[in-house]
Amino acid sequence: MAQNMHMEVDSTDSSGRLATKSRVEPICIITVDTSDTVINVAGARQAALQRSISGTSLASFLSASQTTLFREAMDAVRLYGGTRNVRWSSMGSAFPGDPQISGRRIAKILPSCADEKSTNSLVIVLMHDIDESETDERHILKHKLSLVSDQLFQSEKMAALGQLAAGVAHEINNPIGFVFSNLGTLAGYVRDLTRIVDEVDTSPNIDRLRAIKSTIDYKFIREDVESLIRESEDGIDRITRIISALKDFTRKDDDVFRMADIRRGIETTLKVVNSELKYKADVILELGEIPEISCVPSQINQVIMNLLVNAAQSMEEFGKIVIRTGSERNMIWFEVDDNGAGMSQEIQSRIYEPFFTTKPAGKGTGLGLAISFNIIQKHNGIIDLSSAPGMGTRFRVWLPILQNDQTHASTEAQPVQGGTP
Amino acid sequence: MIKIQLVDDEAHILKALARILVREGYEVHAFTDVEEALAALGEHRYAVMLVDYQMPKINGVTYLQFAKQSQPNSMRVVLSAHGERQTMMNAINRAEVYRFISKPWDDYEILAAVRSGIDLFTLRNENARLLAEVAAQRTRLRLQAEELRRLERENPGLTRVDRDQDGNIIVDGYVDQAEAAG
Repeated sequence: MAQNMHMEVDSTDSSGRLATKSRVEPICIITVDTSDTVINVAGARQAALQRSISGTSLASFLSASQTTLFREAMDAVRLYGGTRNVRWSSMGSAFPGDPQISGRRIAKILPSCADEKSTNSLVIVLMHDIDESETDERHILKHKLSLVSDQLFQSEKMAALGQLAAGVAHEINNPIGFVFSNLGTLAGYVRDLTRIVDEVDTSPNIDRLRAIKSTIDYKFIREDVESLIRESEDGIDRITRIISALKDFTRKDDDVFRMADIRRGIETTLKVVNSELKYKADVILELGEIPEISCVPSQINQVIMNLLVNAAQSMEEFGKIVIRTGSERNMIWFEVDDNGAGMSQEIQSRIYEPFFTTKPAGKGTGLGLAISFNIIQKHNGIIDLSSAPGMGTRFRVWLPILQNDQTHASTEAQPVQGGTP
Repeated sequence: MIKIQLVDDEAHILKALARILVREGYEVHAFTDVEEALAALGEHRYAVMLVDYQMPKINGVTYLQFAKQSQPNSMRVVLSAHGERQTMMNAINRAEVYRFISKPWDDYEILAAVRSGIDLFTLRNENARLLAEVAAQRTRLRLQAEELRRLERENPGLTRVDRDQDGNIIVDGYVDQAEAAG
């Protein structure tokens, strides 16, 4: 038999749906008698296969469930005539002398006409189902791809978090700095005041108290202590807000769609990246009324953060970033509009490519927009931009208010390709 | 009075720093705005400048580079919430800072930096003052020496004093009356 002889069979898969024609490659043709014993093997490429299954029962080289499958099909052929196809996978079962460990198989069962004495013996054509095995491979690749893109997603998140950490450290170290220092000052004030209070019980007269009071700048302390406490409270409050924003931002609700207000996401994200932005640009919010939408909030936050950080990093001098929101029919949109450096057409066409970056080494991962694009795609949304060198950049993200098929969003990510202006 | 300049875009930090420095008896000038701080350099001489690194418009190191040109003797201290290597290198190489303090700071750190900064500042100023004094005295001496040489040229021997064996001053053309009589 030719090494790569292929034939086509019409096959009906287990769900009863008519499958497309499969390309198959015969393994061998066997004849079985009524007791399911192999009485003849023909066309086997491997002599070993021929030897090992000749004279044995089907059950000796098929698993129990496969044997049942075969028996059912063979009974049907014996009863009603015609042919039956059996599909099975060799995965997990040893097939003697078969070089291919895994892969899909197809068997065509037909009555044997040559054997007149025993019309009940059947011919079984065993075949590799090439398409199926290719699909298997594709399946594995797809699975690998989704694993890799998950990892990519995760590493971008970590990289983004790393960049954030520096900014957050700054945001937190400032208030910690002055609160800590204020506490030291307050301790000094308290020491001064307790000196007077301690004296109250033992002092023979008020003059002694007055004398002590005159050694400290009571008027100053009196005035300063209030603002000292107010400022310190303000500092602690700021730290609390930053930490809770950070928690919001990194919440582990991955892939869980829920109703959320994008405006809240924008505010949370702003708190987290504030330190990155405030030295680069004024941030102006023009948030129009929008309904809650079905989304994965932490992922949308990540998109917002990527857009904001990009906008800030495009600033050649102190600039302006405007964030707007709005809705139209069954979609909402948000946009980040900056007056930074802008991009040429050439750069615009590449920005969604993974690892494409215009930033100096170490500054950007080149994954921000690729990941954002991916996230938006998962949300069945659209991202578009308008930009020109020297004219700033505006990114606008459109998202549907409701997801048609909520499970759809957790399917594996598509490879990211080119821009969608 | 010793003057200290504080620059930070965060008002609360300025207040906290001022609290610990005013108590030490220093005159503290605090600025949230870099441009105002720059303008103040023209009016006051600061012993120490304590400047935040990350500020809008320009960063602390750039500010101190400007300040160094106008008041080279001031001690420059950078306060930063970022411990980045590049930041520190810039601070040291460009602004030639005296100390680099990270936020959150320890009050004692600030006081120690300011005190030793002031010591160094006054020492340098004292050194400069003494150098100037020495230079002024040298100039005066040189002028006197020149004057003497001029007198000698015009009246040779005028600046010289001759003595005899007994140590008496010999005055030319002068005859001792008693000796002449004797």
